[in-house]
Amino acid sequence: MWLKSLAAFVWGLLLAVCLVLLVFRLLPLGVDTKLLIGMLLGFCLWVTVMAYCYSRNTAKAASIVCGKWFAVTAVANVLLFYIPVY
Amino acid sequence: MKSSMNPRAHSPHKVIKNLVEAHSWLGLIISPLLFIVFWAGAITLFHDEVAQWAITPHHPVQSSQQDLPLATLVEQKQAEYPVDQNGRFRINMPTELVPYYIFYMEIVDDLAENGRQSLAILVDPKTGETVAGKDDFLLSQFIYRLHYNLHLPGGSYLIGIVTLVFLFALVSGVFIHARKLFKHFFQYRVDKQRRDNLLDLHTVVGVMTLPFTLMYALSGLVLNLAIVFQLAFAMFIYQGDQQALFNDAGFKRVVEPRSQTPMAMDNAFKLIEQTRQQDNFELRNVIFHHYGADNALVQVRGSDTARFGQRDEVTYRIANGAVVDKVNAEQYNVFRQGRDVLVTLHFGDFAGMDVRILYFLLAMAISAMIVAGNMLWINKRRAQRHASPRSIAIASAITMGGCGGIIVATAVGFLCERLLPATLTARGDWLVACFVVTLLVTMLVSINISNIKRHISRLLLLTSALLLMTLTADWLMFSEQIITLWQNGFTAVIGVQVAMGLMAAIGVCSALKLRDQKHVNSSDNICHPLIN
Repeated sequence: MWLKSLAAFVWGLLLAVCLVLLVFRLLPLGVDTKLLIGMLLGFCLWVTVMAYCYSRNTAKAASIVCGKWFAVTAVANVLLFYIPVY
Repeated sequence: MKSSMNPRAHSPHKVIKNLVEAHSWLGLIISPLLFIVFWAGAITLFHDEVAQWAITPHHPVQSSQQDLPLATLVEQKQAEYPVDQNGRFRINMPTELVPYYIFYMEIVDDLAENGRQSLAILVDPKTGETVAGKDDFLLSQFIYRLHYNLHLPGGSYLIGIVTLVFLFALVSGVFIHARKLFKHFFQYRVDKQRRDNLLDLHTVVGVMTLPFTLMYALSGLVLNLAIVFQLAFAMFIYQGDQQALFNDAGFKRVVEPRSQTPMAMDNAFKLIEQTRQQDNFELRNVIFHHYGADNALVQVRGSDTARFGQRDEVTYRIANGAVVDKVNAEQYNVFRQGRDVLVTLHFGDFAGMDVRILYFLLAMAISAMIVAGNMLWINKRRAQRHASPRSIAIASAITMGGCGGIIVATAVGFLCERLLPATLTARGDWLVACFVVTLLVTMLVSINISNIKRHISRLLLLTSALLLMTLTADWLMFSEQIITLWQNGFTAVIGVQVAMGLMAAIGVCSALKLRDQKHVNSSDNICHPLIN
């Protein structure tokens, strides 16, 4: 359970941050609105990923899926990094 | 290689079973801290009432006298203390419940590392006297700090993590209980032969309080763990410019060095008074920046009494009265507004005493749900043949000692707040020491308890006795003051006493009921775990 907890916490954090940053860059709303949505959505995503990780039989099974998602979202963030958004 | 030997690695994912395991395992680990958060949070709903109960009998305020002008008080305190003018100077206004100004100042202190230290004092608005240090009557503030940071440095992040796990426990609980969520919404089976009363208690409270707990978890995360996303935004969106992020989030700061040209501050108090007179504006506090200099600013903060969760704020340049920054219902920032709404919901101070009582009852029910969850885990483990007695003993000590200890320690806190002399040096530290010692002692005596119900019963009786002692001390020490305070409209002193009396009565009734249950069903799996 400790390994699963580590996977849930770390992948939850990384994916939540990556997805929230993507949402921030892509949503066509005011900066203040995006900040609020980002923060609330961030915690919800973090917990969703945690729930996903804990629902798998092993930490490895959870990590494989989360790792792929992280790679995709991280690459998307890197590509969008140089586009000014505020 | 290792994963191929693990039979779970290739079997289909047992989602609900895995979530049940995680829910109970994580729930057990965070339970003592989560219990503290909800228990202390429930009492914090009445923070100001507890503060009035603690302070006003020692230092009654003469309601019949006129208040001294704020300008006079500020000048007086500026002369009385070696105020460091480079620091901020904040004043909280007196309220109906806490009838003193609270001055927060930075004072010069050669012994301190950076040459200054923070000072917070209570000031009588009628006489201008410094009544006490803010932390001299620490109980209400200590319980509040327990709620959000355990009174520990860095504790707010720890509570943030606990809140995150709590939100996960709520989500996983919904998944686990989803099929029966509506069908068994109110199901609580009272049949004494059944062993699943605890499970019913846990699920019924969990389901019924779900909107409340979701709101608390989310707003708690925003308050304690927002730094995670703040750092992410600052680093990856704002490229390190934190101030730009704060500005976009509606928390503008005017950063300018202090001018060396002195200036009289009379205009500041006119601006404060002028703002106070605005419709639907309730003044809460004012903050001075560069007090006494010609580039001084005054920030006037309050709430809009006509709108939900609306906090108004205006910053003036004192020299010419120009508005530097303004936040109100017309000029608002969505992030700040949203955060203020969450904070208002979190503190439950938007609709009077009845909503706070409802919040209190819900928080107490959740505290009971946390204990019931732990008892479920312990009972389940005891029913297993190969369960480790050590893990069961640790879980029992955490549940009985941690949760029970907090209840007893809170009662000790109330007794100390009443009995410790008002002039005692480091009075607040004494109170904290008494609280911590009581908690540790209760945890120690809760290790290896064979009869859990009898132990809970004793802890409840002890708590009730402590509360009754506090009530007795109240009337022996301050009977005249309490009556005068009641006559002058300070009803929270007796209100807190009534609450203590009720809690003591509930404690005694519950303790007696738990003792009776022992005779009714002596083979109960909780009383004699080893039979299972």
